[in-house]
Parts: sequence; C-alpha cells; structure tokens
Amino acid sequence: MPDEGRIDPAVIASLYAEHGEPLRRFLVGMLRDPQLANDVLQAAFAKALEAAHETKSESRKAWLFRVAYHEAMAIKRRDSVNRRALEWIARSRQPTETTVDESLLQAESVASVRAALAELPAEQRRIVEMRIYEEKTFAVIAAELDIPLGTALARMRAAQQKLQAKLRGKFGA
Amino acid sequence: MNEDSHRDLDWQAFRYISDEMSEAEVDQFEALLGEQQAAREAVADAVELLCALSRLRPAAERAPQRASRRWMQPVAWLIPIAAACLLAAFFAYHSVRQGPHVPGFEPAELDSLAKAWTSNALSGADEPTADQSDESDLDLSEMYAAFELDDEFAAFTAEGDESTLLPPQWMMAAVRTDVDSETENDL
Repeated sequence: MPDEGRIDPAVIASLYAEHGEPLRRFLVGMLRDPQLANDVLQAAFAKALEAAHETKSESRKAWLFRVAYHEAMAIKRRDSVNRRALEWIARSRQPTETTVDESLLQAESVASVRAALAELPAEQRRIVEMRIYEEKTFAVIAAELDIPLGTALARMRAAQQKLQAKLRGKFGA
Repeated sequence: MNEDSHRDLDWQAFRYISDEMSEAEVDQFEALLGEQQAAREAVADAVELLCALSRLRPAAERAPQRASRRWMQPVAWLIPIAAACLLAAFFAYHSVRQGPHVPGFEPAELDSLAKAWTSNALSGADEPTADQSDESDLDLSEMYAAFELDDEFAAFTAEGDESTLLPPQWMMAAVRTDVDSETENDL
C-alpha cells in the first residue's frame, strides 16, 4: 500500500540526479555564493522529502525551482549576499585563474561553446573576448572599437544567443 | 512562449548574472523569476554558458592578468561566478562521492535510496569523460592555493573509493530521519 505521507526515496534520488545541477546553477546565478547555493539546494530537497508527495510528478521540477527561488530571495533580503560576496572576493587571491567548473559543466558544454565561439563572426567574437576575458565595460569596448554603444550591445547579444543556442542543442535537443 | 521571448529571457538572464542590470531591472527580473520557470531555467543556462566561456579563457590571456593582478579591480564582475564555479565543483563532487557512513544508522536501512542513487549516478551524468579530461589544463594545486582551500581539498582528494557512488550524506540522513519519525508515530 502506498505511503501517502512520504515520497519514495528513489523519486528524490531521481529528482536530484535530473535537476540537481541545473538547480545549483540557478542558485549560483542568484546568490553568487556556492556555499549559500549548496545550502539552499539542500533545503529545497529537504523540503521535497517532506512535501513533494503533495505535488504532481510532472510539476516537481518547477516546484523545486520555486522553492529554491523563495529560499534564495529570503537570503538576499536578509542582505547577507553582498557582504558574503565581498568577503569572498577579498579572500580570493587569483580568481582569474579559476576557470573550471567540472560540476556545473559537462564536457559537451565546453566543446559546444568552443565550437560556437569559433563560428562567430570576428566582430562578435571580439566583443565576447573583450567583455568576458578582458572584463571591459561595453562603454569602453565601444570606445576602443570606435563603434556606437548600441552596436557593441547588439553584437554581444547576437553572440550570446548563438552561444546559448549551441549550448542547448549540444545533445541534439 | 515564443522564440523571441526565450531569446529575450536569455539576454536578461545573461545581463542579470553579469551584473549588467540596474537595481530597478534586478528587482523586476527577480520578480519575474518568482513567476516564470522559463526565467529560472534561463538563469541556470546563463551560468552554464558563462562557466563554459570562462573555461575557454585563452591561456595567453591568463599570464598578463596574473602579472597585473587585474582581478583586484572592483569591476571584475566575473569573479563571483568564476569562484562559484570552483566551489560548486567541490560541493558537487563531494556530495556525489560522499561515503555511506551516517552516524548511528545501519547502511542496510538506506538501501533503497542508495540503490536508486547508484543507479542514477552510474548513468554517467557526473562522471568525467575522456573528452573532459582532455579539456583540463589546470594546475589544481595552484588553484587550491589561490583560494586557500588546501585543507578542504586535501580532505576531498584523500577520500576513499571513488567508484562508490552513493547519495549525499545529508540526503541519506534526511531520509533516515523521516523514516524514524514515522516509526515513532506508528508506535
């Protein structure tokens, strides 16, 4: 007889395997702090253990993201994120050496983005390099390339769309 | 949602995680995150893209940056994301390979979760591939030192059997606690 008060642990394991990493990426994007992101990820799955049986299986992904969002926003509202981010930056000695993410990234992701980057028109690739690797503002990029700010932004947006599309399509989706 | 809306969400998410938004735009976008799953997924995708791009930073551009210590500039917006990438890697790797020991619990009691987890893990989602290995050109010890993570990472790399793929300890403990409370209720 099914236990209506608790979700099958196998379901939780499956949810974690399927959605854990995208959820972690989402939380890193919101919180900019991997420790906080991990805390919230755990909180979301702890809540799933308690309450996921009340949700429909097809809506559990969105439910998990929503729970994580509310947890993250609660943390942000407590105004701890900026403080911790500043502390983190202060502690970091060589952040630009940090380029890896073996968990948030699959090998296919890096390969896809590399291929997409190579396929970009030169002027778009240059904008990506200047913005991301050289950490220049769009205003500086526009001035250095002697192009209008709107053009610099448009090129970055076009590049971002192509890269994102390539990333999403890496498994032929 | 049409394709243009998706593209717009992607761009907003990219600007959001890149700190390109004004405070008002951030508030507006975070409100949207509360409403739309597509927006939440766009943020996750944007983080993946930024991490991939930072992974592809040309080696030639690293040395001059190290020499000039450009990272100390306050406009180094990529720092939190890049740093997050590193620690998230640690947490994810650690959680997947966490040992089966949960104090006070019999491993057999956690069988169903462990079996389900192992089954998922063995599907290969978290295992580095040969291709992934080829991508790596990092000096990890240098990276750990840079982040003052020697102790954490030393413990992490010294862990035991990597072929043992079990659920994170926190998840096993949570399941176990849940079972315990139910048992008490039944009594």
